Order: sequence, then structure tokens, then C-alpha cells
Amino acid sequence: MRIEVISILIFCIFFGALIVYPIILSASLISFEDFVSLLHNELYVRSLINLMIFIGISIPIKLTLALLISGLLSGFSRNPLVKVLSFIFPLPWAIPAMSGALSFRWALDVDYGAVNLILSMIGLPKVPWLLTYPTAMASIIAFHVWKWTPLWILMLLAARQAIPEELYESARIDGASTIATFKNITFPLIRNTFFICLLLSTVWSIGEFEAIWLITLGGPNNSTHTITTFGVRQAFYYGDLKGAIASYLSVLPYVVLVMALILNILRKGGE
Amino acid sequence: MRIRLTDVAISLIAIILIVWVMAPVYNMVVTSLLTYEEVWETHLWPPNPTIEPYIEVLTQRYFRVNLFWTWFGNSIKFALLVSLLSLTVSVLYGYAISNKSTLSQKVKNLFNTLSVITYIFPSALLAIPIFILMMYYNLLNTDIAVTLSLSILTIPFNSWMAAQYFNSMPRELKEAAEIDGASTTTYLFRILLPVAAPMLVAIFTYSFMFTWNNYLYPLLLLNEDAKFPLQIGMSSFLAADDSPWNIFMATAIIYALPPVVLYYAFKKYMISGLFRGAVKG
Repeated sequence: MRIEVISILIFCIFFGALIVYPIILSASLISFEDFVSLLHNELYVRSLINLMIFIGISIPIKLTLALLISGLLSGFSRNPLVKVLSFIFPLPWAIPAMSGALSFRWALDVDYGAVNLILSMIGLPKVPWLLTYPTAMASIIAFHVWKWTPLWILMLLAARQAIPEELYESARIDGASTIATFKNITFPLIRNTFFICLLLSTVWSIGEFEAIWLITLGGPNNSTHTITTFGVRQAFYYGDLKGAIASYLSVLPYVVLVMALILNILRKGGE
Repeated sequence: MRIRLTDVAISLIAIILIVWVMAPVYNMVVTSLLTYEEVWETHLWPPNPTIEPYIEVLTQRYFRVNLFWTWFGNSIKFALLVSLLSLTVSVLYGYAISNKSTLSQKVKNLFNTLSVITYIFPSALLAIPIFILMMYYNLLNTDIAVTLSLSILTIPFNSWMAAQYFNSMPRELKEAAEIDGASTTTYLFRILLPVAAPMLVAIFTYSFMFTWNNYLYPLLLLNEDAKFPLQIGMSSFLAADDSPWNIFMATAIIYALPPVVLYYAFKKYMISGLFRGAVKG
């Protein structure tokens, strides 16, 4: 009995001291005026818009790819090239962001990078990838998609593999088309997992830091910051700790909303 | 004939995806095998492969990696400290929560929900609150700050995973141990943990990779060269003007090897622990 009580206490101490207390502490440092001055900060507004663009573009790409690739991996696992793919696809997820981002930055170099080299080989002009706003945003999103799609493939693949094989066999006997099989068998059975992936990737994309910081550092001209990098910039390079806390708190309602939706699905699934 | 066509289409799609996944890795490997002069000639294949860039890193000859081994050691130190701390706290928690007699079901559910909420919460948004906490307690630029903050980011999920695992174990195991007169400690360490080895491996690997790969927390909490883990030491690459990309890429590969090797070595446990469990909800 004693060891159980001590274990729970240790967990509570960690949780209280390192999660609850820091949040209360930082919330207590700021006042309403800090939120007002945020709204007058052009860079904050820009970061918020960038965050929406980033989420709005990267999430549909990641989840569509994950849905299709998990289907490819589970449905055509006898194809030798698919076998190779199923071995290597988790690599971007396992490779640290720093290594992957360095490779992207070098590949996107204007004069010597591999991407422009290939473009000029097929007769297209060189693109200054990290030096203009739209191409810099596209580069951030490309890196983010490369790095994080594998996680959602792994999740959806696990859900697909839990579907009993007999269901597909009977569908085959009935002569159901691929699309009909997906619509009537696969999707209903992985729907919960799919929505959890969708919502989880929304919350975690709000918190994405490395893709922006390591690929563009918020540049060119501070045009590609999102809320997380804006906060770090304010706090550590401009000494504006209050602005940083206020900017993080300002996205908290969305985070909480999405988290509530996830918990709701989990609770329903548990019943 | 129809089957053949599908096969060709599937193979083509697979090739495109393999290229997409591997291109950045290929770019790293090829560049890391070039000489400094060749970096500026743009090659799709190293004309005379050399391991000179790796030697420059490992012997710390290039000035931006003059502390390579210190940083590498720090990375190992943080990853091990966080994994062990996180493993201890979460296994004890999982054991206590799965024990039928300890707490009422309502309290257990509350704890479970708390773990899930903390796991879901984006860790970057906690970075500044934790920075402020460490500042208040004068712990900035210490190993303790990094270890504690990265532990608390892995503990919720690990605890939840441990609780799920222990919950799925047959109750007869405990009853048999009790009949044989085993104490709680004996039961936990001699019987339960050996059976739970796959879960322990999954938790350890996950925490190790998480700590090894995390960039934001050590960036904010440390400010002294000699205390940096490798990834923070590598930050100076991002702003370098001289840019010997062959050396940068060699460092990037050396830095990426431990988590990649760990993942492939313990893939089986990782997937059953992390993803099956997560999918079940």
C-alpha cells in the first residue's frame, strides 16, 4: 500500500511543480494591457495570420498523404517497392529536426542547392527559396510535411491493421470496388483514429517551432514567424517576456477547444 | 492485364514516395562525402568520396565543432537522465494506478485525463512558463533545468502507457504472488517488471529519442557553450558565412544516427507501445 501512495505523490509533485505552477506563475505576470498592446503589434498579427496559413495548408496535405500512404502500405504489402517504402518511411520522423532542416536549407540554397540545380537542368529559372515570403512559407510547410507525415501514417497504419481480414475477403467476394470498400469498411472503422489524428496534428501544429526556426528563423524580414517563434523572439531577443506570455495565452482558447474535442472522441471510443 | 497495370501504377507511386522520403537524406550523405571545393561545384554524386569531413568533426579540427565531444556527451547525458527519471516516475505511477485497491475509479479517471491532456498540450507553449519557473528558482543554465523540463514533457504519455500496460495484465499474476507470500516490492521488481520489459523498452526509447531530438528547451534553458547538447552547438551552422556544408552535413548525420539506430532496433516495441496503444484510445 505504501509504495502506491508514494508513487502517486511523486507524480503529483512533478505535475504540480512543473506544469500547473509555471502556468499560474506566468499568467500572474501579465495584465489586460499586455493583450491590448499585442493587437497593436504588427508582427503579432502577422504571426497569427501565418499560423493560420501554416495550419490550413499543412494539415490537409499531411492527413491526405497519411491516409493514402497507409492504404498503400497495408493494401499492397506484397509489392517489393512498397516493402522498401514501408521500411524507410518512418526515417524523417526518427531523424532529428536539426539534421533534416540543415539538409533542407542546403538543398534550397539559391546558387548551389540541389533543388535549383535540378530546376536549371530541366531549363527552369533558379528560385530564391528562402528569400521571398511565399517561397519561404512553402519551404517551411514542405519540411514540416516531410518530417511529420510519417507519424500519422504510423497511427493510421496501426488502425488499419486492426481491421479483421475477413471483412475485406467478403467484400472481394461480393465484388465491391476499391472505393466502395474504403467507404463502407475501412473508413468507418478508422474514423475515430482519423479524427484524433486530425485534431492532434492541429494542436501540435499550433506548437510547431523547429520547422520555422530552423528553416527561416522567421525571415526573410520577419515575415514567416508564427506564434511560437514570435514568443521566443520577443522573450529572448527583445526582453519582452510579457508580450511572449500574452501571445501564447492568446492561442490557448483554440488549443483548449481542440483538446476538448479530442477528449470527447476518446471518451466515446472508450464506452 | 488489369492486375499488371495496377502493379505498375503502385510501383510508380512507391518510387515517387521513396524519392520524397530519401531525397533530404541522400543530399546529406552525398554532401558529407565531398571536399570543400567540390561543395561549390554542385554534384549529384561524389566524384571522389572522402571521409575527411567526418574526421574534421570527430577530431574537432573545424572551429564550429571545437566542442563536438563535449556536446555529444551532453546529449547522451541528458537523454539518459531524462529517460531514467521519466521511466521511474511513470512505471511507479502506472503500477499504483493499475492496482485495484489503491484509489477509487473516479480519481483514477481524473489522473488518466490529466495525463492525456498534458500529453496533447503542445510542448512549445509550455516553454516560456517553464523558462520563467527556472528563472525564479535560479536554475537557468543548469543540467537540472533541462532534465526536469524534458522529463515532465515525457512523463504524462509514459505514465499513461505504463498504466494501460499494467491494466492489461492478468490479475492471476498478482494473486499467485500473494499466495506465495511475495511482498509488494518483490512483486513489482521480480515479477511485474520482467514481464513488462517490452513496455519499459518502448518508454525508454521514446524518452531517449524525444530528449535527443528536442531543440527548443535546451535552446532556451542553457546559455553556456560547454553545457550545450549537440543540436544547440550546431545552431551556429545556421548563421555561418563560410558554410563548409560537407562538414555541416557530416555533423548532421552523426547527430541523427543514435535516434535512427534506436528506432530501428526497437521498432517492434515502439510501434506496439506507442501506436497500437494510442489508437485504442
